Amino acid sequence: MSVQQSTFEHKTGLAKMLKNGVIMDVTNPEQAKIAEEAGAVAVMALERVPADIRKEGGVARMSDPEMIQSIMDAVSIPVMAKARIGHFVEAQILQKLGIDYIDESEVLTVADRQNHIQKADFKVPFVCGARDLGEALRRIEEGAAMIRTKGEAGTGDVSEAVAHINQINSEINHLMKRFSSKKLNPEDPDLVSYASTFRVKPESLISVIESGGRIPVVNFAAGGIASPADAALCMQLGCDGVFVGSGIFKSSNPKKLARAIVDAVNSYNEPEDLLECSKGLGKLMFGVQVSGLASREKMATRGW
Amino acid sequence: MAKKQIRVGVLALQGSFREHLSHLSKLFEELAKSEDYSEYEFKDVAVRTAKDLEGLSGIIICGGESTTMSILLQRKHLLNPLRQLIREDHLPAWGTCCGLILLSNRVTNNTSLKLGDLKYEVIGGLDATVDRNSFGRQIDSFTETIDLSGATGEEIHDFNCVFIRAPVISGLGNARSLAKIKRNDTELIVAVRNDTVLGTSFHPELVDGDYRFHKWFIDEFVLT
Repeated sequence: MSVQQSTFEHKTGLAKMLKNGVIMDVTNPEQAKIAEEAGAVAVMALERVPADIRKEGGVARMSDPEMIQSIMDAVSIPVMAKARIGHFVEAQILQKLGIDYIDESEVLTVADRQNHIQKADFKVPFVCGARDLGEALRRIEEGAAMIRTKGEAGTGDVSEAVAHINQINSEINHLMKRFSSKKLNPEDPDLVSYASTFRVKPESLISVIESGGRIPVVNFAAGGIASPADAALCMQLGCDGVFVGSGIFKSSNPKKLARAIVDAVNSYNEPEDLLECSKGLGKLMFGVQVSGLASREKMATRGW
Repeated sequence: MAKKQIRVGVLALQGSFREHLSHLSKLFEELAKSEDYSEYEFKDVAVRTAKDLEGLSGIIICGGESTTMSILLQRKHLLNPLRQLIREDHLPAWGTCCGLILLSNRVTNNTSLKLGDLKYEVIGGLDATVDRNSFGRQIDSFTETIDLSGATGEEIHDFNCVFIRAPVISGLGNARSLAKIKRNDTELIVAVRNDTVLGTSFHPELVDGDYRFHKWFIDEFVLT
């Protein structure tokens, strides 16, 4: 009998169990319980939600492991936590803590302006943000086992997440049109030059084509999702599930909104159910419009 | 002569249902070419509403998060129809990981969950007790090659059993153990059967290109 641990299949396997689910940002054990009881498939433990990071400024780092531990103790669903882009020591600490998934996140301050974390070196799986196909595939080449759109975290404005989904979808469509009927060979000069425009290996493009025109790992929407309708919009555009950051606990009725978003992700194609779960949710997150932000105020431009 | 219709459902609310559906459809393509199965016409069905349950010959409950799935089963009015079909009408059923939890009559470490207007409810059908997340956290997930030939009576000597934050069967009533693994000198039950209901801690739907376990479920539960 042979036993294998922490292979890429185990890392992507957990992500597959989260599909058609909602992952919620929580800052304490009470919020984590609310998320679990609303039907979240996982929680993201962090000290400040993106809306507060945006408002308060300063350097945003990995959260206190003691605080993350208190959330791990409070719920039985998987717990994720964020490390700064390129900060592999924060990732080592989170791995030692026993976290289920690390988000190498642009919501925190960038720690290394040249390199992302070499995620294949870790036993714990990683999720990373992406704005386009090349960025998604570069993260997967580094070992990410799950991808999410970057969106624009902490705004409550879904437009940036939608833009990133559209961008990835249109790049995949183009790729499929050009190569899906061809015999795939990583040394094909046409494919090599096409891959170089994305700054990825030809094999990465082949994996997209062989997955039938999908990013070859689970792909969630994130960044600005604040209502059941927002969540269903991302699902109809082809995402496997959603992250909701500031939206839930910045609303007037988090319990009700959390359950409504879980329902909306499940019934994303059923207008009757979407109508029902959109009713009487109280005040949603006030938010800021992405179009009013200067580019230096955007988190999505962190990472490359 | 008209072929006998065999519709196998996969509960498609949350989790790894596409992987199960894809395994079934590839397996059914193979079976359609085989003389031995020429009297049948197979179809895989995604189950999202009570209506999708009509005319099924078997159902698979996939991996995912059991709390989420319990809520959705109740919201989608599927819990009671599934209880009736699986527990009273003996519709062949197989649960993987979270599906095993949902098909077990007793679940430990879930008692404190208050799900708002709902309760943590399972479908049941396996007279067994299951412990959630028995092996620890994600980092403790593993694949173990297990000889399932004794359990299945088939030539499955070397099945790659993928365990992800997996549950374990900690108590047996009328259900009987099909497979065990050893951890620190303790034997842990990772597959059980109770008449027409099958439960596995591991995920055959995550093993690319290997449909043997799905085939065994069809042969042993659905077609008999």
